[in-house]
Parts: sequence; C-alpha cells; structure tokens
Amino acid sequence: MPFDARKNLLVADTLLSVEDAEVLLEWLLKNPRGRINLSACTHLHTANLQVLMAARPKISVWPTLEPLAEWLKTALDKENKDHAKNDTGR
Amino acid sequence: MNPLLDQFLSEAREFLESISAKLLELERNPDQTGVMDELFRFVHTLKGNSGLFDLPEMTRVLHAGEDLLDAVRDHRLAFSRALADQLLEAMDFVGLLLDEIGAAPDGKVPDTSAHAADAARIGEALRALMATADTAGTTDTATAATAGGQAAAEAAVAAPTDPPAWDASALPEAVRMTLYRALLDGTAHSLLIYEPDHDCFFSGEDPFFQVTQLPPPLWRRLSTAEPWPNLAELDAYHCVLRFELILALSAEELTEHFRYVLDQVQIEPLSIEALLQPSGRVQDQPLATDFIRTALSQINAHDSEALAQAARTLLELSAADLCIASGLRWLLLVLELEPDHQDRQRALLNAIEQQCFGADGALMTASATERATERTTERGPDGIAESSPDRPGSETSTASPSATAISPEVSQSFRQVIEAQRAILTLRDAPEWLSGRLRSVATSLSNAFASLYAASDSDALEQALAMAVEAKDPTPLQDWLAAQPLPIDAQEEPHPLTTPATASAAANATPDPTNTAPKPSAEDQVHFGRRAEDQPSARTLKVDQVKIDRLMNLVGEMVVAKNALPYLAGRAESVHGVRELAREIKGQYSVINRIAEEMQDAMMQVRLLPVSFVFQRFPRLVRDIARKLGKEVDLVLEGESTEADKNIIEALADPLIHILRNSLDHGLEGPEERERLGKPRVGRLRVSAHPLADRVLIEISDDGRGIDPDVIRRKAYEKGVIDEIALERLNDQEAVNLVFAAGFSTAAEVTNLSGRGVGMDVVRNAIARVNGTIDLRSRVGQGTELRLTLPLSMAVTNVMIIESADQRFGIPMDAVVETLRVPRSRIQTIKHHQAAVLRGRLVPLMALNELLALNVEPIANADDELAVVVARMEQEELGIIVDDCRETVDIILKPMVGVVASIPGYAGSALLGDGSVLLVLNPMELL
Amino acid sequence: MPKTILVVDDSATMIMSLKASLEMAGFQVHTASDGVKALETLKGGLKPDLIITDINMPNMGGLELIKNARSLPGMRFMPILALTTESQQAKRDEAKKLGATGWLVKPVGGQDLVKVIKQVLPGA
Repeated sequence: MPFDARKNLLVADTLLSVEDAEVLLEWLLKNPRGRINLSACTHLHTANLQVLMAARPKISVWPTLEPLAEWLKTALDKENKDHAKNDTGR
Repeated sequence: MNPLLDQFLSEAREFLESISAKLLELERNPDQTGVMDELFRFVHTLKGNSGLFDLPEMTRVLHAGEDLLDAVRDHRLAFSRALADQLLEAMDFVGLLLDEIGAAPDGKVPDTSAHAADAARIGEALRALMATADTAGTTDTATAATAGGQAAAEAAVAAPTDPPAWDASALPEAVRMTLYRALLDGTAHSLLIYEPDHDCFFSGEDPFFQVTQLPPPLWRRLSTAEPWPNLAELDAYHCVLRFELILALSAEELTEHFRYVLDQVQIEPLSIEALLQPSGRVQDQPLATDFIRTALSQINAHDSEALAQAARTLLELSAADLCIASGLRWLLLVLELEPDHQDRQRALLNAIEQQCFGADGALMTASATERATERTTERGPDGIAESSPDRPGSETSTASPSATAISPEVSQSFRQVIEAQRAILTLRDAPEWLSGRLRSVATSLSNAFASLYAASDSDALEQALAMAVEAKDPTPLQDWLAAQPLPIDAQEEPHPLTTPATASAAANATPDPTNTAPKPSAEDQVHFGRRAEDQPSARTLKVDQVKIDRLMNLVGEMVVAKNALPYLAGRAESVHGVRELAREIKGQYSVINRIAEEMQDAMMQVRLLPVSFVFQRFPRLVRDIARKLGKEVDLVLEGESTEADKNIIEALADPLIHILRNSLDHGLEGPEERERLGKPRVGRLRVSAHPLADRVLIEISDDGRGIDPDVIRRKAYEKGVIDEIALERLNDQEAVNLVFAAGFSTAAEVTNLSGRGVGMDVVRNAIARVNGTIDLRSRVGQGTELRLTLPLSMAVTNVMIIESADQRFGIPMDAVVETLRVPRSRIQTIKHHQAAVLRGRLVPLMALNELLALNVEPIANADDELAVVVARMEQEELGIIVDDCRETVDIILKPMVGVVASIPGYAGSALLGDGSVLLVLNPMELL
Repeated sequence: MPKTILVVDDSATMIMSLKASLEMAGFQVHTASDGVKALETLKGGLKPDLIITDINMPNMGGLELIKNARSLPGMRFMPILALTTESQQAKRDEAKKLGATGWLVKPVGGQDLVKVIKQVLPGA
C-alpha cells in the first residue's frame, strides 16, 4: 500500500496508482478532516486527482516535484469558485 | 556471434517454407480464408522482423508482398496463379538474401544493396499486380471505411455538436500579451484542450500523466464537465476532467504526444488576431469617443508617436479593470512591437469601439451587437480552476456578462447569472464571510444589470448591500432583486435553469461508486507474489544441432565403454582369480547396460524428425517442374508425421527429389496425351511414409506411362550395360531394375531437369548408404511405384564382426541374410565367377579379400570349409567368403572422414569396447 | 521494484529483440507466443505493469487478447500497447476500441521503445 495512513494524516508514497484512488476515497470518507502529505509523490493517477478535486482535503505538504505541485495547486486552487470549496470550508 | 540475427535467420527460413506451403495450398483451393490469414501473418511477421535489421531490400520486397496479400485478404484482388508465381519469386529472393546474410562473417548484417535493383524490380512486379486491385474499385475505400473507419464515422456524427471555436478571451490579458510577444518572435505556441473519455481509465489511460509529461504550460485550466457529487457518491473511475493548456509546442509536437487519444483532444495553433482583444469591465468612458476618432486619423497619418502619447494619457484616466484600459494597453503594446502594422492597430481600435462600451454608447453599431451577443453566450464550464505563471493584476478577467441587446441567448445567460445569485441569497447559514459573499453577489448583480440596462439603478443596489451587510441578512438584496425588471425574452421562455445547486442534487442520483468500481479483489493480492513461479513452461526447446551431435557421441562412447566391463569381468576371473569380483562387475554391467540402452533410446527419440521436414519442399518443387514441363499434377503427401532419425531424413532429401523429377519428367504424360489415353488430365503423384516395424517405408507412385521392360532391355544392351545373353534371359522385373545400373538413363533425350548426369544408380547408392533399400515396380501404361525402406535410426547399428586377412571388419546385420560354412568342394566356378548352390539357390560367391584387393587367399577351417556371409544386395544375394564370422555388436557408426571418405565399400568406422577401431563394410558398394 | 512487462508475439525473433531492449532498460520481461498462452499466464496470476502484444498471431490474435485481458480481474486499468506496422491503421483503431492504451509501430527497439513505454507507464 502506497499510503502511510495515520489518524487524520495520510502520507502518500511516490506513486498513487489507479487502484489507489479507491483507497484514497475511502480514507477521505472516513477522515473528512484528514490532511494529506504529498511531499514524496511524483505522480498520481487521474482517478486520484479526481478524488482530491471532489474532496478538497487539506494538503499538509505539497509535492516536492515542482511541476506536479504546480498542477495540483491549479487543480485544488483555493481561489476557485467551485461550490465544493464552500462545503469543505464549513 | 549475433544471437538475434541467428534467431532471425532460422525463423525467417521457417517462415519462407510455410509461406510457399500456404501459397501452394491456396493455389489448389483459393477460398480458404484461414490459410489466407495465416499466409498474410507469415509475410507480415517476416517483414516486421526484417525491419529489426538494416535490410532495406528485403523489407521492401516483403512490404510489397504484404500489401498485395492484404488486398487479397480484403477481397480487393483475386488469388491467381500469376500472383502466386510473383510471390514465390519474391520469397526466393528473400531466401537468397537470407543465405547471403547467413554466410556473412562475424554475425554482421552484410550490405545487400547489390540486390537493390532486383528488389526494386520484384517490388514493382508485386505492386503492378495490386494496381489492378486499386482500379478495380472504389470498394477499396468502402471496405477500409468499414474496417477502421467506424471511429471516424462516429466522429463525423459527433462533429455538429462540437464546441464552438475556443475563445482566447478566456486567457488573462497578461498571458495573451506574453503569447503575442512569443508569436512575434516566431516561437510556435498551441492551445490544447484535452477532454478524456469518461471511461478512458478502462483503456489503461492516465490523462493526468499525459498532461504532466508536457513542459510547464504558459497557462492552464482544469475544469469538470459536471459538478462534483457528494464524496460518498463519487465514481473516481468516471473521468470528468477537461484540461486546457497553452504550451510552447507546435501542433505537430502535440499531435505526436497525444497520438493515442487524438479523438479526445483539440489542438489549435494560436493566432495573434485571436489574442488581441480588449477585456475587462464594460463602462462608458466619456473621452473614448474622441480618442478613437483622433486615433484613427493618427493611424492613417502613420503618427504612432502621437497615438502612443494619446493612449497613455487616456490610460491614466481610466480605471485599470476597464475594458477600455485593457484595449489601450494592447494598443501601446502593438505600437511598441509592430509600429508599422496599421491594420492591426485599426482592428484593435475597432474591437475597443465595439466591446468596451455600454448599451447606449454613442458608438454602438449593429455589428457590435452581434459581437457582444456571441461573447455573452460563451459560458465557461462549472468548476473551473486555472492558473498561469504570471498572474494578471486584474481578477475581473473571468468573463463577465457584457450583453447589451436582448436576444434569447443573452436573456438566458443573464437569467442564469441572476438565478445563481438569488440562490446564494437564499442561503441562511450566515457564515463569518457573509459580508464578503454579499458584496460578491452585489457586484455580480451590478455587472449583470449594467450589461443589460446601462442606466440601471446602481445607487439603490449600493444601499441594499449596505443594509444587508449591516444586518447580516441578505433580505435587502433579495428585495432589490425582486424589484428589478427582467428581460422580456427571459420571462417568455422559462427555461429550466441549471444552477450549481440543482445540478449537484441531480448528481446525487449517480450510482454507488463501489458498485461500478469494485475494489481489487483479494485474489489479485494473493497472486501478486507468485510472478516468478507462474512463468509458463516452455514445451519445446530449440537446440543447436552441434550440441545434440555431441550428446549422441557421448552416449555412443558410453555404450562402447560399458562394453569393456565384460572383458574386465573375464580378466578378473581368469587373470586374478577373483570370482566374486567378476560376478559383481557383471552385476554392475547389467545395470549400466540397461541405463545405456535407455539413454540410447532417449537419444534416438531426440533425434527423430518427421518426414515432413523433407516433404514440405515437394509441393513447390513439383509445382515448378510441372509448370516448366507443361504438365498438370496433383501431388498427394501422406504420413508426413512419420518419424526417423535426423540423418536418415536428411539423407532422403536428394534421392526423393530425384525420384520426383524422374516421375514428372519421364513418368507422367502431358495433359493432352493423358486425355488421349483416357486418363484424367491431371496426373497423380503420391508420396507416402509409414512406419514398418523398426523401419520406415516410403512409397512414391505415379499414374504415368510406367517403365517398358523391352525399352529398358534394348537401351541397356545399346549402352553395353548387359550382354546378349542377359538380354534374352532377364525377366521383366529384372529388366526394370536395370534403371539402377550405373550410367543408365531412360529418357530418349536428356532433358534439362532430370538429365543432370545423375541416374537412378546414384539414388540407390544414397539410400544404401543409410542402410536403406529401394524397390521399383512398374506396369506399362499404369504407372510406377518405388518403395524405399529405411532404418528408423542410424545412431546405433548392429553389426557382425568378421575376420579376413587377419583383420576384423563389421557388416551391418541389416544386410546379412545368413552365415554358413561351405565346403570348398561345393564351390563351382562358372566363367571365372565362383558360385555355390545354397538352400536350393545359386548364390554367387566372392572373397572379401578379393573385393578389398587384399592379395591373400581365404583361410578355410579344419574341415576345409569356408565361412560365407550371405549379404542382401537389393534383389540379389551375394556370398562373401571370409575367414571367420564372430559375434554381433552394437556400435555407433561414424562416417568415414577425410581422405578415406572417398574409398568405396566402407560404411564407416566404429570404436570397440577394447579400444580398437572397426571398419564397417557397405556390401552394396563392394561390387 | 522493476516494472514488469508481458510481451506477446508469435515471432521468436521479435520477442528476442523486444526482450533485449526492455531488459537493457531495466524492465522485467515475461513472454508468451500467442493470445491463448498470454491469457493462461495472466490467469495464472501474473500481473504485469504493461502488456505489449502483437496483433497477428495464431490461436488467439492480439485483438481478442486485449478484449479478454480487460475482463480479467485486476487488468481493467492496465496499459496495453498493440504492436502494429505502419500500414495497420485500421487495426490500431480496432485495438483502441477494444481497450488498448496505444500502439507501437514495428520495428521498434532501443531508446524509442523505452520512450514510448515511459509515456504510458508512470514511474518507469
């Protein structure tokens, strides 16, 4: 398992595979306030990206890999007027 | 040594064999789709393999062949004899190249360019055949469309619903300005819109991975086709993303990168015209009208200095987020970068004039109305997230409604904005940022109404906002909104509006993600660690023949070495007098003997090869010869899976080919002659193989004219093969057997096929060399049949040891009929030839010493009897007088090599258990 | 952990060539000589990170293999590349429709091959 999931903190491994999206989703459902440390992550499959975009969890550490961090910041942009943000912010 | 090249060569030769076999099969019956598919696959694979090496000539020819077969497979072209001819010639050419490559030193791929002209010629010839196919029909394109064009057809259907051309105004002004500079510098930039299929993950795709492999984009936006559902209902495996990127890459580079998903991407080169657009808040600027009028005359006067000055002045007087300010910044940039591009400056002024002012602006024209309408109908998808490296100062760049006239589209989008704000106002949750939310609503409403009614009551709105913020209650704004007039169109057309709230409610109906995307099953996890053991085991092993030969030699030596044990046992008892030990050695010997015999047997099995190894060349051979001779032949092959030792099978090839040639050339009649004779036009040539006890029987028969014994007798006499007496005395069968006599040729004239100075005598000798026999039966007018019997294996030969002139020789037991002692008195001499009547037959006798030119008399035993080995020589028997006959032994016969190889009379040599070398005679060659 | 690739081709030459290129690039390579054998291997529990399959093969061709492999548990999302030649545009489209991720154009080897694989295999 590429996650190191502790209470309310999930530390992602280098690669989050397509199958991992299911696990990630379950973890986020169980830990709605869970934070995610992506520092080691070099790539996550699109399915994981969708989970993150839908759930808008707090990213405690962005990926060290700059291009990936840029993309994720775009995807999970705080300025974004998506309604989902309002929900998670409550 | 180049293992890949070796592999290629050996596999390529197999392919060539199979290809010609399939071609011949198709020639007999062209309607075999399965065979056609296989044939195509062989050529296709061979072509693919040839591409691994630098062999342009071979690849060229094979490619043409592949295309041709593809046309046949698709029924664009009929299979024909001419086509088969052409393809066979092409394969011969490939075979020639293979030989050349195989002969090249050091496993290097030689330069085959010397054959370029031939390759071109053959390729042309193949393509020429196709030309008929291509002219044969527009069906070509039709089939192609059904085969591969379904996607294209679907795309064509989908085309009308494609989104309208992408609007560059979605880009922040700063990004557009950077792009403008880059495009002027000549750097290619493209827009990429990537909307992956919803179920693309199930094709192994990872769109995000494709996107992140691109260089960092100048601008990017990530949006979703639909709003996200509640997390519990999210189907992570239903892809809803839409990527939009602007990259410093050409359309070609992007097309290459996204080659697998071209149906999911839209790639647009960026043009300067699309970028140069003012964007921002629409509001009247009192000075603008004058400015534009003056500016146009300044452009016409090429007075860019003055124009720039005027633009800077007006820019200072305008709020930065206004559309006019944006337009002025653009104008200044164009003046800086392209001061002489008056058309562009004019176009920009035109755009400012048409886009930057409110509804009752004096400059509004009919075309401006249209333009504004278009822009307003552009709606960004929900859930937009975008970023660019240099974020623009203005955050108002997100499209704000700026419509001025009321068309249905405008009113709809207007209502959408209003409804969205109304929905927000109904929220009763009163969060901490309520005031921010209320301000945002007020701004949206102000902009929306300003776009429709320039003289909207903005003061009243301000008041309502102030009240609402103070009361922490949106009611005053709701009241204000309720008091506003709505566009007539909008009221008349109550479209159901998709607000984010309703959309998310609708999305709740999506199925439970755990149903559509089950978790990886436990089984998967368990199997995960078993990879290494799960390798499928290879069922056949290709082994270099040299290795097998070495193994066989070792087994042979083992067999011989174990034969030393009985000698040892004998010595233990007789010399050393230890009987116990002798018995133990004998005991051990029997064990080793059994193992050695099993090893021999196993070895023999390994060396077995089906006769198809030789037979498979026949169809092509027979076809070619028959066509050259103008004969029609149906070749029937039977028992192709019958097996025999590799050496036997290999030794069979040349004699069999010769026999077939003879049958075709001399045996079978031409079609007309056959018809005249009342036979079917098509002759029959049958080659069959059957196992027969420990031998293999091969029969070759034809239904041709047969051999006329009288003709043979006369010919043989004319050629001096027989004398007058024999001419009279020979019965028909004996006469027919004369064809095996040395230097006999039956054909009236020597043809270019079988008349190559090789007669049936050579065939007989070749068969005899592997201890085989040959038997010929023929009936005039009905055909000829040849029966060959061959041992299954040459690996182990049972020989009888004989002594003569103080030397030991071996005679293969296959050839021995009997051994007996003949009293010297019973030997008669007829015309210098010795003979004796044995068991009622007259058997000619010859002394081995005489046959081997050893000038020694045979030694008789005490009773003056001579030892005679009666050997079978084809149909006859010969009594060989020797000094003594001894035991029989199993030996591994090794062919004679070097100088002695050319001496006739010997089959080979073998090593005996006591270490001595035994020369093994070949009785057939002794005479 | 090295990435595992299952190479399916009926030509021993092609297998040898691909295997050499892939192993040189650090991949662990399994091979099968047709679709039937490949399916057996997959059903036997091998879960490669990528499948590369030829199209024209005896017993079971590449298209059928792709279709069948996709229905196996755990193979839903696996990248599959079809080995095609220049002239097989129609086959490529068909392979794609049946669930292939992309295709390779023969002859392919060395750096070109590795480059394509890295494009569909994250972390390779």
